[in-house]
Amino acid sequence: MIDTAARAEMVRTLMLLEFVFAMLPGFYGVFYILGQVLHRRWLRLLGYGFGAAQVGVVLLMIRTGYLEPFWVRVMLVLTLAYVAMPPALWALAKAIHRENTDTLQPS
Amino acid sequence: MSATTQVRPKLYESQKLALWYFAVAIALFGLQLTFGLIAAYQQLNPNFLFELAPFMTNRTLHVNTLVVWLLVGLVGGVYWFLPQETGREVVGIKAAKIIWWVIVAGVLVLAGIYLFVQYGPGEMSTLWLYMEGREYLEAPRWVDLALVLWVAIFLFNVIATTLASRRVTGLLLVLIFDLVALGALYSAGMHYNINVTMDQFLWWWVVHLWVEATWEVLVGVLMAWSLMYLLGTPRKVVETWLFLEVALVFGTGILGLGHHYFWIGTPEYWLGLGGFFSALEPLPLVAMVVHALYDAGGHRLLAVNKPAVFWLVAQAFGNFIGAGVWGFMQTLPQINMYSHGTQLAAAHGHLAFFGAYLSTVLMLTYVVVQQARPVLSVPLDSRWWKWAAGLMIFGIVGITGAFTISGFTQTLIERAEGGSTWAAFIRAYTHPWYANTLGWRYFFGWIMIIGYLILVYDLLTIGKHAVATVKATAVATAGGGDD
Repeated sequence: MIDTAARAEMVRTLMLLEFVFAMLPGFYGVFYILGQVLHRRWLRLLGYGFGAAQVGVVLLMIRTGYLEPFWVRVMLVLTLAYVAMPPALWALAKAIHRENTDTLQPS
Repeated sequence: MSATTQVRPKLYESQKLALWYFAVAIALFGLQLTFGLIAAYQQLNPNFLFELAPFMTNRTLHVNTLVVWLLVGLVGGVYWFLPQETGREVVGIKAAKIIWWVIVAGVLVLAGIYLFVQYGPGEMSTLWLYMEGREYLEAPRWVDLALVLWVAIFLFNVIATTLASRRVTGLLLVLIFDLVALGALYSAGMHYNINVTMDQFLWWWVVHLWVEATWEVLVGVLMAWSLMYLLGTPRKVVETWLFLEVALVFGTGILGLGHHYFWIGTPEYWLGLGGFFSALEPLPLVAMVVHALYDAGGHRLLAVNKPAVFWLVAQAFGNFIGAGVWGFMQTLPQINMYSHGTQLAAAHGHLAFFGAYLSTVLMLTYVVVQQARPVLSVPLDSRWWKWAAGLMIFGIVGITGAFTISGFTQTLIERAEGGSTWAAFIRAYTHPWYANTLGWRYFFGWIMIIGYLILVYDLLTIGKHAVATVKATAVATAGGGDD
C-alpha cells in the first residue's frame, strides 16, 4: 500500500501525462493534414514532431512504473493506432475524393 | 467570392416547421445560460434565491434545457434537410406539427414543475408526475413517454418520406437506423430499479450511449448534408466518411461505455474493457478533424455561408478537444478512481457539449437563416457572428479552465491525498485553487451571456442587407425612387 502523498504524486503525474498524450495526436493530425493541404513541408514535419512527442510521452508513462503490464500493452497499442491514423486517413481522403471526380484536389 | 443575391425557392412545410424548432432552440439556449449563470452565482452566494430556486433546481434546469435545446436543434436540422434530400414534402407533416406543439407545451409545464413544485412525496406518483429524482434524468415519466412518441413520429416522418420518394440514400439509411437507436436507448432510462448498481447500469445507457453515440451519429448525418450544401462536397465522399465515422463511433463508443462501469458495482473486467475502448474513443474525433480540414482547408474556407463553415470546423476541433482530450485525461481506471465525479467531469461535459453539439446546432441555424430569408445572400457574412463566436468560445474555455483547476484540486487533495474524508472535503473546497475558480466561472458565464445576446442580434439581422438592397433595386428599376 502506497502512502497518500505518493498516491497523490502518481495521480498528478499520470493525469498530466495522459492529458498531453491525448492532445498530441490532435496536433499531429492537424499539422500533418495542414501540411498536405497547403503543400508546406515544415507543417508536415511539425506534425511528425508531435507524433514523435506522443511516443515519447508514452515511454515516459511506462517509465514511471505506475502502469501494470496490461496497461503498458494497452498504451502501446493506442500509440500505434494514433500514430498511424493521420497518414492513413489522408490516404483514404485522397482516394475517395479521386474516385468521386471531385474538382477539389488539395494535394 | 463575389457577393450575389437571388430569390430563394418556396419553403416546404417541413422547413417552416424547422424554423420553429430553431427559434425555440435558440430561446432555450438563452434560458440554459441564464440558469447556469444563476447556479454559478449561487456557488458564491448560496442564499441567493434559496427559498425560490436553490442551486439544485437551477442546475437541473441548466442541464435539462441544454439537452432539450440541442435535441430540438438537431431534429430541426433533419426537418430542414429532409425535403431537400428526398425532393418532396415530408410525409405525416401534420402529425409532426402536432407533436411539436405538444413537446413545447410539455417543456413549459416541466419547467413550471421544476421551478414551483420541485419534488413530491416518496411515492410512485411523484415519479410519474413531478420528477424521477435521478441525476440528468429528472424528467417525470409522462415527459419520457412524450419524448419517445416524438422520436417515433419523427422516425415515421423519415421512413415514410424516404419510401415515398423512392430515393434511399446512404445518409437516409444511417439516419433511420440511428433514430431507432435514439428512441430505444432513451427508453432504457425508464427501467427504474431499487438495486443501485442495476439502476446505474441502464442509466448510463441514456447518459453515455444515447447522448454520446446516437447523437454523434445524428450530428454526422447533419454534417454530411451541411458539407454538401456549404462546400459542395460530393455525396459519395460524405457518405464514405460517415460510414467510417459511424463504425468508429459505435466500435469504440459502445464498449467505451465501460469507463462509467468502473466503480458502480459491476464485475472487474469492465476496468480493462472500458479503459481500452474509452482510450480509443478519440479516434473518430481525430478522423472528423482530418475530414473537416481536408474539405474546408481545400476551399480556403471560401464558402456560401461563412459563419456556418466556421462552426463546422469549430465542431470538429471542439469535439476532439472537449470530448476526446478532456475525456481521455481521466479515462484510465488508475486516474478515474480519484477523478470521477469531481469537477473534472463538469469541465469535460461543458467543453464536449459545446464542441460536439452546440457548434453543430449553431452551424445549422446559420444554414437555415441564410435559406429562410426571402432573398439569399451569398456569401452570408457579418462582423457580429465573429464577436458572438469569439466571446462564446472565450467564455467556454474560461469556464472549462475553472472547472478543470477545481476538479484537479478535488482529485489531488480531497481524493488522492485525503482519502475522501470529511476533513479532506473541507480542505479541498476551501483551498484557493477551488475557492477562486468559483468567481471565474461566474465571470466567464457573463461572457457567454454577452456572446449569446450578440448571436441573437446577428441571427435576426444577418443577410437582411441583401433583402433591402434587392428591394431598393426593384423600386429603382420600376421608377419608384425618390430622386
